[in-house]
Formats: sequence, C-alpha cells, structure tokens
Amino acid sequence: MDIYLPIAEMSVNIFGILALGLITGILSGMLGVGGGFLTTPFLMFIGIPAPVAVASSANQIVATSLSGFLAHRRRGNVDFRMGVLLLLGGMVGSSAGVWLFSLLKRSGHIDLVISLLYVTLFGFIGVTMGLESLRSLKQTHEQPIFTAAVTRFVWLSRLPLMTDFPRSKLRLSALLPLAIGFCSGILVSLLGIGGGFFMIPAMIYVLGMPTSVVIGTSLFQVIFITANVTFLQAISTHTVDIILAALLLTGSVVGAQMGTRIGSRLPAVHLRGMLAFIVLTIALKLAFGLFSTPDEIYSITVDAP
Amino acid sequence: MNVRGFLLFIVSALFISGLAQAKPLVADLSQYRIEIDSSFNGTRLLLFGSRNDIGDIVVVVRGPERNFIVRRKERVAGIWVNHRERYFENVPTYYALAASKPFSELRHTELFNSLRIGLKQAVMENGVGDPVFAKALIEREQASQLYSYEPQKISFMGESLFKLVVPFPDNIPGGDYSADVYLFNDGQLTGMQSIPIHVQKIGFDAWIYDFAHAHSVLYGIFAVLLALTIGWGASSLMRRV
Repeated sequence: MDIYLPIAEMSVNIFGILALGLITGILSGMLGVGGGFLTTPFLMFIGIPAPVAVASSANQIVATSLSGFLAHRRRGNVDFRMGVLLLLGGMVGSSAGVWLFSLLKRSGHIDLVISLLYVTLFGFIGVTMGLESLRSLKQTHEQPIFTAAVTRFVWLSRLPLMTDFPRSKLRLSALLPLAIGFCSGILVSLLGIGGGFFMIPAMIYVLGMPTSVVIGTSLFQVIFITANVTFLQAISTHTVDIILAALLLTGSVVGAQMGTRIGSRLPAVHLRGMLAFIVLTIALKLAFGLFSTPDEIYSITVDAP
Repeated sequence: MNVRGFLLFIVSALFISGLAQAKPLVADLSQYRIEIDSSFNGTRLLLFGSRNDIGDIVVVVRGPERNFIVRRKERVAGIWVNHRERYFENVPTYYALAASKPFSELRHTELFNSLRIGLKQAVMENGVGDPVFAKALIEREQASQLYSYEPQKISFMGESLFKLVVPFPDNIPGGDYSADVYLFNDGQLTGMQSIPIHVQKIGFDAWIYDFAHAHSVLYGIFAVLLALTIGWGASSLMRRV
C-alpha cells in the first residue's frame, strides 16, 4: 500500500517506512542510540530527497529521545548541569548548521556534503567500535581501553570557567561541554542524526563522564536540539515531512519496546560489534555511491521563487 | 476519449463552425479545471476547434513558469561533484506541442521565438541559454512526460474541424496553465486563441503542503509538538506495560 508524502512529493510504501521505523526503534532500544543514523541513509537509498530525509528524521528523533530520556530520568541517570551546558552549545551549533544547510542546498552541494560526512564519521566510528569490541571479546572482561582526554592532556584542565559537576563527580571547564554540544548541533542539522553517536564517545573519552549517566544526559540534550532543528528546517528549507515523520515514529515507538527487551538479554560486546558492522556497511554503501559513475550526469532543481 | 467527451466535441464543433464564420480560428477545451488528489494518475483533455481560413494549426499547452538550475556532475579527485551550473529563467513546468503538419515542414519565423513555440524555445527564453544544458533539461522533462512533442497529433474532420487529445501525467504541478492555439499561413500568424486551464492540488496532502509553506512557523511548532506528544505517550505506555 502506497502513501503520498506531501513534502517529499513522492509515494512510498507505507509498510516499508513502518518497518524502517520499527528496525530503528529496535536498535535504539537495544543500543541506546537515537536511530537517526539508520533512518536518514535508508530514506536516501529509497529515493527521498536528502534534505527531506534529514529534516524529517530530526523530527522523529524528538519523540524517540524524549521517551528514552524519561526512562533514564526515572532511574536518575541524568547530569542536568552538564546537559544544560551541552544544550547551550548545541543550540548555537544546530542553528549554525541549519544556516549552513540552506547555504549548501542553494549551491547544490548538500547531497555530496551529507554523503561525505556520513562516510567519514561512520567509517571512523565503525572501525574504532569494531576494534574495541574485538579487543574486549578477547579480554573477556570489559575494561576501559582509553583514558579520558581531560586526564591525558593537561592543557584541557587549565581552561577558564572551571565548574563542578556533582552528578558526574567531575570538575572541568564549562568550555568543553559547550564545544562538544556545538559540534553535535552541527551534525544534527546536517546529518539528521540525534548526535548521540558523536556525543556519547565524546562524553566518555573526552570528558571522562561515568557511562551510567552518559546516555540519559545525551538524550536530554538531543530532545531540545532536534526540536530546534525541526523548527528551523520547517521555517527555512520547508523540508520537514510530517507524514513521513509520523510513520517512522509509529514504527520506532513499537520497536523501542521490543529492542529494550532483546537488549537486556544480549551481552554488550555483541551489541557493540553489531552496531559497528551496521555503521561500516552504511559507510561503504555511501562511499560506493560517491565514486561510481552516476546514472544522471545532470541534475535539475527548481530554484526557490 | 470517452463517449461524453466525444459527443461534447461533435456538438460544440458544429456549434462553433456555424457561429464563428467571422473568426479565422475558434477552439475550446472539454474541461478548464484539473483536480489532483492522492489517487490522481494523470488525465487527458480534449481540445477541439475550427479553422475558417487556410493555414496550419499549432497548439501549445504550457504550465506555470519556474526558474530552473541545471547542474552537471564531474569527477573531482575520484568523486562525482556538481560542477558547472546554468540558470534557465521562466521555463514552463509543463509543455505540450502539437501541429497539423510535421514541425520541420512549418515555415519557422521569428514569431516562433517570441511565442516560444518549440521545445528549445520553451526552455531558452529569447534564445538565451547554454544549448547543451538546455538539451539535458528538455530530455529530463520529456522523460518525466512533462514535455511532449507530438506533431500531427491534431486530427481533422473535413477541412475545418479539428481535435487533439492533450495528455497530463500524474506529476504535473499545480497552477495556471494555458492552451494556446495558433493558425499560421505561410509564416504569418492569422489567428490565435488562448484558453486558461487551472490545475489544483486538493485533499489532505495538498493542504499539508500549502500549510507547510504558508504558515511555516505554525507547521514547525506543530511538528515538534506532535513528536513530543508521541514520545511522551510512548514512554508512559511503556511504564505501564
């Protein structure tokens, strides 16, 4: 059964989109990631214009991150002070990102930049995560492989605006979470991902936050950032497809419940290895698209009136 | 063409030919309005008329005009990148051309440029534009069936009565269209009639599209609130399960 997407201006199979939402929901429930990293590339694979895919999956992540955040808040796994600083940086970053997005859309390079960023980011994360899960499989005991950058690089602890973070048991410069938030904000608006992908490793490996509060704190920030991106995309590029987002949402809400149950039965190492595999596959598929000869040499766009 | 359309054609054509002896050319359409809903999969309109003078009939149906950007991908460091780009201004989004004679046998005049008769003339306003990029644009529009060039599709009943079926594919944009009928005699324009057609998207989808563009602030707020509601609802449901 097909449904017409009014903003993407094309028909899609309703069950295909629901299934995509379901799979991203299962993964986000299992692995604690937003799932946007999976939705955006897949929407692009089925022919939805990249700008619509990015903006609509940002809209979807508003919902998935809120329901995830509420679950973590009940368990007290949120560092609000850190979250607010990440949020401030993220608001600036995501607004700058939306501006950059419309600039790239006008110059015709947006699809290329999205693909390139995905290939670079996913290639890097996939390889690191894959190596780490291989190593921890051999060691049988999970040990932190990296030490946080703040303890390794002394200059990071000499920055101004030192702040206490009682929930994370840390004392570090407020500039660090602001900068991390800023970078994740740009990624959210350009890639349509929640930013957890970038932020969670950054919080663990740069700030040295305890793993237990990382996901909840990241989700707290992601709700506001994706809401900001959704709103800004809606008023500047008109690319938020509410029907598409609603379909994805319905699937992912159901999937998240299933995912949480599966996730609690599987060991974390296997989960991380699986995630690494998925991420690398997407990166390879997108990289192949960049290098292979396109079917159409010419692309035609209608200029905004 | 359906039976009703055909009867309409006969009756109107007879009526027109009796009434319009004074005018060199009269024409009309079976319908002035096309409504597009989510189940729309294209339609066809019947154009009919009468010429009361010798000459060749040329029909051009045009859709609303837009500015187009055509970009050409080139390999830069192994990666395909949009490289050169050309602007084409005031290009019809729909263009159907038909004539009573093979197009090449018509005597082409400057009038073809100013009236924008011909596919090249449609995309290159006053002949301005890169011909290579123009060709790419025309080919793409033809592939998506928005541009059609079917000479001799105009059929005659006797010497003066003519009819033409104009196809509209399912991807036509909404807006104001016009069906322009010309009578050419040896390069001279001896008669002309322009009939407006209104194409409108209707239904829920069209409403969403219009709302997203006309009230984007409200639309943005609504999109965020919808997601927050579903997210919160899902969370409180999960708590109970």
